[in-house]
Amino acid sequence: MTTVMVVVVWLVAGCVGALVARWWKWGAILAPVGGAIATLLARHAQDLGPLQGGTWVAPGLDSVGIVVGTVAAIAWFGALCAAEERTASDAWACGIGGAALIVALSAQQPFVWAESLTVGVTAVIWRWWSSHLPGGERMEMARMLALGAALCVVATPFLGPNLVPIGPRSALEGGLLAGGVTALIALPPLGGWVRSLPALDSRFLVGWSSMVVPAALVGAARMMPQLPLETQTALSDVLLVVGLTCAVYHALFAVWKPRDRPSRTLMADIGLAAAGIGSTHVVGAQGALVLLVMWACAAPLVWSLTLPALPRRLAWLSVCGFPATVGFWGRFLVLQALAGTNSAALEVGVLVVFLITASALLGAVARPTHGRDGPASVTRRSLLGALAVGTAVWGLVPALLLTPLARL
Amino acid sequence: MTGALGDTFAFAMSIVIAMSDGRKALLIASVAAMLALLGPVGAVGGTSAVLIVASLTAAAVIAQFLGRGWHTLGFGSAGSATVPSTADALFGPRSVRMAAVVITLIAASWISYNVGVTGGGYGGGLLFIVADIALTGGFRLILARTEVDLAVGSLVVLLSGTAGVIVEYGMQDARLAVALGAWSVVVGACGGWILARTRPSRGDP
Repeated sequence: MTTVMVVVVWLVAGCVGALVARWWKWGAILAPVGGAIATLLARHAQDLGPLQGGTWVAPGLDSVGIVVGTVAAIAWFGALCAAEERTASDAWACGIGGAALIVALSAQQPFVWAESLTVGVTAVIWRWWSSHLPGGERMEMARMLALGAALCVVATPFLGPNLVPIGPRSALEGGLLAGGVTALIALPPLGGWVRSLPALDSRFLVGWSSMVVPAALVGAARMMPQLPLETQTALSDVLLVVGLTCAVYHALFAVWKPRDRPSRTLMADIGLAAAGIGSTHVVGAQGALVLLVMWACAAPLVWSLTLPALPRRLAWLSVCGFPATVGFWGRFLVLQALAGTNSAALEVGVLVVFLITASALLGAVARPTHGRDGPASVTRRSLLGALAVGTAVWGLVPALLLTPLARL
Repeated sequence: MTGALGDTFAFAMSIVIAMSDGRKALLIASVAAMLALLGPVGAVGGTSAVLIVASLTAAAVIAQFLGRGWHTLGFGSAGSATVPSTADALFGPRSVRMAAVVITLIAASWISYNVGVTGGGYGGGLLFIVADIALTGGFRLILARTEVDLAVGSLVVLLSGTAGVIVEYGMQDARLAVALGAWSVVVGACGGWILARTRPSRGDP
């Protein structure tokens, strides 16, 4: 199945899911299921190479694209299972966001990557806007994501073959790209709109955390080797410094404020992932993707308000980072990359990992303070239990995840 | 219109973009951005480039009116698109935006003196205008307090990005400029929908 066909299947699955959701309460589930099947059947491209190729999109997906696309579908599936209700808007957002993610992962030109990110961001903003969330939170989220998408879209046309790699122009382009990518993954401003995430259903979170964030970071990692030195330095330094600063800040709050623990721990890991990409080492990018994949599976479980405690505790244990959990492999690789960058970055990284582990352990043992344990149906409990066990088992077979992600 | 006169006109238009508020802000800002950008675009790409930017702006304006019909789709939430959804600060939004315009002037001057364009050395006035309008839109996004602010900021940044591509590549890569500018039409339609979703209320500026 070519890339275009995979994109079409995601869109059609979204449409069908939205239509069926009006009659059948589980109808929206069709969108991620269709998307996952299409992504798994995608034509396998050996190595897409760096962005800046000739065509707009590659004819197939490489192993990174297949893993990230499939995990995004699993994340949507988990979020829809965990939700008390599933609407047509969820199916639309999943279909459009998934199609945008596939285009971003197979893009051969920076401009196509930025355009598809913008489509994904539009789907996320629209999903929030069609809800009844408080206006202030929606505004904070929308302005940062819109700014990030706008910066990427404006910066990338100037990265074409006519690039003049001298003087402040390169640094300026690096600054625009860095500003765009960091805004898309919600690093600035510290605290920002992510504060509102504890109050949310994971359906609002998953479009951003499992689609926009991986697409932004994978694109930045694939673009970096081809950029002029000044542009590359500006982008990598900003990702490293802002990522680590954000990670320390959120990790401290994750330990300190139990109510914000899921969102702060997620943001600390996203900061660590950004630092891994900013280190410009291949293992750093690999570790960053492992962390994002882990959160895509764990987020619906740790956010759920009505789940029984066991799957939630299992998900927190997968996040905590003890050896042989997925979190351990991701953070180990990021620390390895930071060790190759400089000692100060490594020290800060170790501090962040320690705080995240403490926060996740506290999350595993504590009673949820932001929700309530409620009666979940047998179907929901079984599906989410399977997701929790799958996330935990994934860490025991690291090659399953690390081998395909090594292509980046 | 380029040179000192064009720069001054662009600065005046950036003030218009920054200060426009209320239900007509999107319309006013898109026309002001287009008027400012036509100078550098025409100087590099000629009549065809002017036509591209003007028609994209016209399409964005038409899309705003067409988007107003979308409210019949039924989704959306309560609240006015022009009433701030965040708490008031010490300084009002317009004073902050005016301060941003002053910062924009300095930043755009720096860019025009230090950043080259591929077409011919340092861009001077051409790049100043594009940078000034783009930065104004960017600040409008950063300082957004209403839904209309978001739409205005996005639309202005995208239109100036289109002009930037034309100034950089001339008409060699018009397809890229149109692909970028097409987003301003989408933003225009979304802006129209946002405005149509709520009727004017007493609190609207």
